[in-house]
Amino acid sequence: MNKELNLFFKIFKETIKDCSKFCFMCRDKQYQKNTIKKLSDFLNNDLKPMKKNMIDRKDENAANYLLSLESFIDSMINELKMLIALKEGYPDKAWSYLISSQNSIRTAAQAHPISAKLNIEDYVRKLKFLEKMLFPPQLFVSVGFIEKEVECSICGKNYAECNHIVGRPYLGKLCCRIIKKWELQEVSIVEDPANKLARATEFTDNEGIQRNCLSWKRIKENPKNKL
Amino acid sequence: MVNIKDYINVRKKTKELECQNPSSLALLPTNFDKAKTKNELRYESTAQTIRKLWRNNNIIETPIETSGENFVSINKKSFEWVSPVIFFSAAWLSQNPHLINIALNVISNYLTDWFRGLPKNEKIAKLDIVIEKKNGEYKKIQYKGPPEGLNSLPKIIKETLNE
Repeated sequence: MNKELNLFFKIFKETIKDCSKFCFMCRDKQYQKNTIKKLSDFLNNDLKPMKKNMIDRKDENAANYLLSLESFIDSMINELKMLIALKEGYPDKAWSYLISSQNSIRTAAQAHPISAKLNIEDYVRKLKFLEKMLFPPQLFVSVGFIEKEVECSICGKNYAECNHIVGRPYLGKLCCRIIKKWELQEVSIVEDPANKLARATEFTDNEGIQRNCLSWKRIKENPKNKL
Repeated sequence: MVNIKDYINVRKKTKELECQNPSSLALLPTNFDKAKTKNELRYESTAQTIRKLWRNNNIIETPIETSGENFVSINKKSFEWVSPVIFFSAAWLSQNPHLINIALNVISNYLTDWFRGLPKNEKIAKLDIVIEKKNGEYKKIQYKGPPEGLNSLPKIIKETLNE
């Protein structure tokens, strides 16, 4: 690993250490908002330009290394946003932030082996713990469909024809399969879905009152809960 | 968790469906045993990825579809990683026993990376393998569990062949 990246990693770790002390429910939300600002500034002013530089240099290893760090910060920002959203009475938004945080930490882990030095396994466990502690069990919707046209996110070609592999990093981007055309086959209610953002948000109780699945509040009384 | 059961005659079925004969290693559509016509055949959405992994590791497949023919894939959006059915012919198994490990290791290594960043209990792979025995019997070995467990499959395949 080059000197430039080693030095950058030291600054990154100091920034993370400094900011992680605000990733707790009891911290004042203003400090948490300031922390989001600090992380976002670091992301936009330092990390992203450096990653772009590595991409321009076609330094694949460095670009993937920085993708891992970028995703880690993104995960932290979303975790903080989740805590703030809960304090402000927006549980649906909080849920979305939590899932974004989990997705980002997965990208950080998949992007580069540097993630092993970031205690990502502990972070994954923490986010799972928060999911179970802060939110009730939910009903999710799972969609089954026939894939008619699938594109590679890296080269834009038909996924079957290129050599890129889904879930692997290529010059600072993780390969995804983009489903361009599809045909719906089934919709089912499941407890363990692939996509935790596809979920029931409202229900009608035994007395005919429509309630929010997370806050339990009547829908009409609390319109801000709706995303 | 591994479950072993009898499977239909693959060669007879490929003939009925007017598909190519899988002479070595091949992927089979998920509904291969139940489909009545070729048009009904559906691969798991992971099939293309496995084909690429094998191709990149010089593992040659003899697909049941003809050149230029494409069977559609089905995506069930499950949190588990579900593989297409992997078929090993009797001739391939006797001539290339070492390749069983390589073909499965490529998948196992990929899955170790794929599952990074997920909680332990969400790292679940489902893999079905169909083997052709020399006596013309077909067995389906179903695996469900963590990716590390795939390493046990070559031994299970050999034991099933010798039963």
